[in-house]
Parts: sequence; structure tokens; C-alpha cells
Amino acid sequence: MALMVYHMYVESIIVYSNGRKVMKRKAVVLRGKDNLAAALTDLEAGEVLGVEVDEDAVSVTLVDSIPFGHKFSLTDAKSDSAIMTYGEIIGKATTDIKPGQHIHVYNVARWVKE
Amino acid sequence: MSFWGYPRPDGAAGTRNYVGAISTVACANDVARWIAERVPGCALFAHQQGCGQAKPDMELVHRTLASLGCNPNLAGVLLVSLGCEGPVDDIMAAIAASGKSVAKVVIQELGGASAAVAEGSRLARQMVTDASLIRREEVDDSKLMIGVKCGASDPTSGLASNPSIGAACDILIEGGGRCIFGETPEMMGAEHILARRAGSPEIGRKIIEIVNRMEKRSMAMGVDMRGANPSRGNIAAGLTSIEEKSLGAIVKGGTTPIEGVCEYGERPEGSGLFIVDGPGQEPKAVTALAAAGAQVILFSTGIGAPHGFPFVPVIKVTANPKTYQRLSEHMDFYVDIAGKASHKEVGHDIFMETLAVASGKRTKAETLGYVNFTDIWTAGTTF
Repeated sequence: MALMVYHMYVESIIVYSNGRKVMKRKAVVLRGKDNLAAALTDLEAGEVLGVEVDEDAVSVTLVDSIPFGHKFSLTDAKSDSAIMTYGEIIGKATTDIKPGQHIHVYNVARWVKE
Repeated sequence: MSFWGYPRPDGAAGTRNYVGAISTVACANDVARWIAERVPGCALFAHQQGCGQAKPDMELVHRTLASLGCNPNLAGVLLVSLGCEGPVDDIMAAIAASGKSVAKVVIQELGGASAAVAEGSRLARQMVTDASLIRREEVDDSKLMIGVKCGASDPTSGLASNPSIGAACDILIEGGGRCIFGETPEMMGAEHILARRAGSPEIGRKIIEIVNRMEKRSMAMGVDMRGANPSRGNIAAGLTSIEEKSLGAIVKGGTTPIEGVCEYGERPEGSGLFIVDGPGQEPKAVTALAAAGAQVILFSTGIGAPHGFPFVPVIKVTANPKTYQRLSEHMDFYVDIAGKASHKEVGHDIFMETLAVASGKRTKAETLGYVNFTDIWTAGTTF
């Protein structure tokens, strides 16, 4: 039986907002290799969020307002690159997506395997 | 870790100790219900199937009834039959092979419903007495099978409750136990990801096969399930693609390899994580988990699905604070979506709650008696 090795269960918590430590989580990164976060509350454009992924600290300034349950980019995602959450590819960027930008159906298309 | 379970002759452990009053055909439902109502300690399983169906569906129904009877939560089984519906003796033999006591009443042979209720009640009372002598023992949690299901989902399901339940599944499987989830339509879009997680290429092919079969059934009715997802409502809620939607559902099974795929009504062999083919519709989906042998079910809900199952405790988990407040009489476990605890930490708490329920703690659905909403799925139509 072929055994496969999976990445460990990595999950990060966004703990800082506008430089102030917040007691409530504002967003979640479901797996370590994801390049996006999902909002756990309605977030305003301009808000600065600190993200800790695998002990790396990243700071993201929201370009767009992100409603609860919606996603925003943590990285510079180039056009045609993979958009990942749950550690898996859910689509590809149809345009360059900057950190803090809303990620949704208008800038993501189906990922077609080569 | 361990829980307190009822020992069974085949080495399994029950989390409950009922005598099952199982109707073998829809036409016998009332008699089965009357017996279950007359004899405290009985759990009723009624359904709308067992007659006027094509051979593969009849086999599916009989397989499911036999597997339900084998569930470790039943100390004994009384089959309630009309008489003309099919091989009740084969179902009896399959259940008896597990070593537990099993009996039948046949309405047409006994001369009607009244006589069947009288004879069935007599048999059931004796089995309840026998069952009452069985004591809970401390058993290793490797004897536990958790069934996993989500229903009436919302964005909190995929982002918080399902990943937390998945973490609980990982803990049980690491300890040698078993978890199983179904809902084949929910896998659509993520079947290639599940197949990649299969323990063998054959299991991977089977995952693709059950999804393709389910898709063909909807296509035959002129409905393109794949094309219709994510729905307009899903998109408004933030879901971008069918892959993302399905990932949010399958994350409830955790991160371990898929060790097998069961047909509806089959019981898996071995340990680890399993899939059972079947629908998402709740009374039929939960039946598949109980038939597979799950002694406890973790059920995540966003909007609030309230019901349980007659002889398997169903733990309702929600991460929607409004649902937890409004439907507190139905919700067992609250996941604080904005809390500081990681999904892994919450998953540990869910696992401990699962062991408590497995050891006898009553769920909300059990204390309400909101448990008699059951059916068996069939692949084809009724003739």
C-alpha cells in the first residue's frame, strides 16, 4: 500500500489589528501553505492585520473591505498562479492580486490540470 | 484513551444498550413503532423502503438493515416483518453472526397487527431484560467509530466547526480508532484531492467512481450539480469555487489517508478513515453512518439541524453564535469561531466530549427524544 506524507495541520491566527493586540481572532489561515486568509468578522479596508504563519510574521494592510466568510490575499499572487486554501488549489488568479485584496469569483478562475 | 462501553459478543463495544425494533419493510412500520412504544429500552428503526424496488436497491436495503442490526449500540434485535417483502431470515442470520440475540415477528403469519404487537412485545421485553444485565466496561478508544456529518451548513461550518471535528477525527485515528463520512455529492469538485489521499490507487479510483455515479444520477434528471456549484448564495457567502466548497465539507474527516470506500449499507474493515457512498439528505446519510457501525456521530451545523438518530448519539456542533443561542436546546458543542484556541485545541475538546457521550452522557437530541427521523437511501426509483 502506497503511503503518502501529508503536511502537518498548520493553522495560524491573526492576532493583531492596527498594531493593537486583539483578543478575538479576525481571520484564519487554514493551512500553512495557503496564500489567503478568510475573515471571521467584517473587516474594513485600511485595517492592518498581523499574521503568524509557521512562526513567520507577516503584516497585511487590507486594500478592500472583506465581509465575514470572504477571503483576502496574503501574498503577491501573479496572474495564472494557484490560489490555495485548506492546503489545496481552489483556482487560479486571472489577474495580479496584491496582499490585502479581496479574492473572489471576479479574480479567480477554474484551475485546469495540465 | 478509553471510554465506558457495553461489551458485545463479537468484541465490539456499544455506547448505548438498546434493543432494536427494526422494521424490514415500510408496511411494518406501525407495528414496529407500537412494539417500541410498549417496551421501554427499545429503539425504533422505521423507513420507507423494502418493496417495489429493483434488485440492486432491494439488496441495498437488506444489506443496510443487517448492518444496522449489527451496530454495537444494539444489545439485541427484533425484526418486524410484513411477510411478503423478502429474505428476513437472511437478515436475521447476518445479525446473529455478530453473536447478539435476534428474533422476528411476521405480521401475515401471526394473523395481523394485534397478534404481532403482542408476540413482538413479549420477545422484546425478554431481550430488554437480558440487555439490562450488561454492564459498561472501560474499553480502549480504538474500539470507537465516529461517524461524521454536516448539515444545514453556513460559512462557519467550513471555517471552524468542520476543521475542528477533523482534528478530533485525527486524534481518534492516531489512537487506532475509526472515522467515517459520507455525502458523496459534497465531494464533487474535491474528488481528485480525496483520491490523492487514498491509501491505495484502487481506493482512489473508487472515490472517483462514486462521485461520477452520483453525478450521472443528477444528470439523468437534467440537473448539472457540478455546474450549479457554488450557488449564488454560496458566492454571496464568500465561496469562490466548487473545490473550495467541497474542501470545507471534507475537512471534517481530518487529514489522514482514506483507507476504504464502502457502498451504502456496508461496514468497513480495518482502522483509519473511511468513506461511505450515499446522499447528503440527513435521515438517509445518518443511517449510512449507523449501518457502517458508528457508535457516535459528530454533526456540524451552521443554521441548525436539530435531530438525532434512534440508537446512535448525535453530537451537534456549531460555530454560529446566533444558532448556539437561539437553538441551545438542540446544540451540544459550541466552537468559538473568533476564539484564540486553534482548531487542533478545539478538536481535542470535541474528542473529550465525544468520549463522554460514548460513555453515557446524553446528547440534546436524546434528552428531547428528537431521534425518530430515519430512512434508507436507494439509488433507483420505486416501481
